[in-house]
Amino acid sequence: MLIGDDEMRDELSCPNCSSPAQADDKFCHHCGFPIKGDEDAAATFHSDKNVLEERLQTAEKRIRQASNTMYFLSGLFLLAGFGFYYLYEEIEKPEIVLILFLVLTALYGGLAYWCREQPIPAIISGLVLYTVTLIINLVADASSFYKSILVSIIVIAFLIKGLKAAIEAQSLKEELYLD
Amino acid sequence: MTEETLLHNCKSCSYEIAENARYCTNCGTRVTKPGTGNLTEKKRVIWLTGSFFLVQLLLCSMIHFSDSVNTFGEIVLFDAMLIILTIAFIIPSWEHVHSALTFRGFSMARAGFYMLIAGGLSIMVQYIMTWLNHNLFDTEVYYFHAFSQTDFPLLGMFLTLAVNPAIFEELGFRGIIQGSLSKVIGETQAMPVTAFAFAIIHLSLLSIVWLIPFALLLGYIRMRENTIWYGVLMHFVFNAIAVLHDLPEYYPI
Repeated sequence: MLIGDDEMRDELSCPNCSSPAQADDKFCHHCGFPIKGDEDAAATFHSDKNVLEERLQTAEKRIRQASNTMYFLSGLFLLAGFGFYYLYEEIEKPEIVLILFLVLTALYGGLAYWCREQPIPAIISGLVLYTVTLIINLVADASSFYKSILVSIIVIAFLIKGLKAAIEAQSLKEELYLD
Repeated sequence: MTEETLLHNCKSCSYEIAENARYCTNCGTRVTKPGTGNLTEKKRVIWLTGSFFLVQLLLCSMIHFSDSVNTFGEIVLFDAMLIILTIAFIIPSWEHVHSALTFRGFSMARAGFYMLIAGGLSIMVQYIMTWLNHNLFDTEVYYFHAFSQTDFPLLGMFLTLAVNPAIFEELGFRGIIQGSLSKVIGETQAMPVTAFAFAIIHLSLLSIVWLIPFALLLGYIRMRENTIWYGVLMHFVFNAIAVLHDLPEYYPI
């Protein structure tokens, strides 16, 4: 280790994070604080950090919204599954439709939960699943696709915003050393 | 000597800084870890991969659900479109794909071992699926029909059902999608996400059951060996056995 070697050890330490500093350091090696800078430089340092933290908070809010969108889809498929099963008697194989909808319920629920831990892969998987179900819906029953097109657009918008935010949050966390 | 290994130069001002420093002590620039892409590059990768998947999904849904794409000529046209699409997307994602196209360290023994696994899996899946299709849905699924009117039914079937998917699905999914996603979410997460996308794009409800494990296996081998060629061979063996399984219906022994 370079820092902590006897010849390097100095009385100096960073006023911001108290890590050891050397006499000729202009910036702290650990937090980037301008040790030799004036008050303005210190103020800029703190406001830059605040900006990053605020951006991270906004991004995390968007990620939560994407997660909630998938919880919403999960609930929607649960309702739709039982709705079709009990209300529409003309469906050929009601058990298969019910099982399919319950699988979708479980998948979206799982993805929504996973989204809190690992947002990027969870949202990508959610988008893949949603676009595939949309395409199948369009081919199988175009009229119901057009009826629900507004909901579909809103869902996709929330998921894409969440994905963008998740990628940004990943970079911000790296920049703020929050991992 | 030890001094040198512990120091490196700041990218911004070339000042010598300690290996474990987060910031340059001379100019305050943050030391970025090698291998972590920047934000705009990550977004570009996601958009590119996303649009590749979407176009491929549209093509697949066209052939899957339209009644018109059934003749041999139309199947060839569809395959040609998929090939052009894959090549068109390899070009902008080349930096994420090319490392997986290497034959360096390719071992015939290992390839043989993987092909045996794929063959075993394929035989198992063919028998289970035929049984399931017969007993659950009262249907028989055969691929031969579209090829039987052509001059070379066997050759056509092998090219379009075994050779072409083996090369271009592997290039598209294990090459482009898994390679690109690895740069954004890391290899271990890119693998299951790619496997999920690969399984679901086949648009077959029942097949998901075996497609997901098979895709995970292909993705795992791609990640472990860092090349797509073992996967190409496995995919070929898997599909070729599915084609062979079909034949006795038309050429009774």
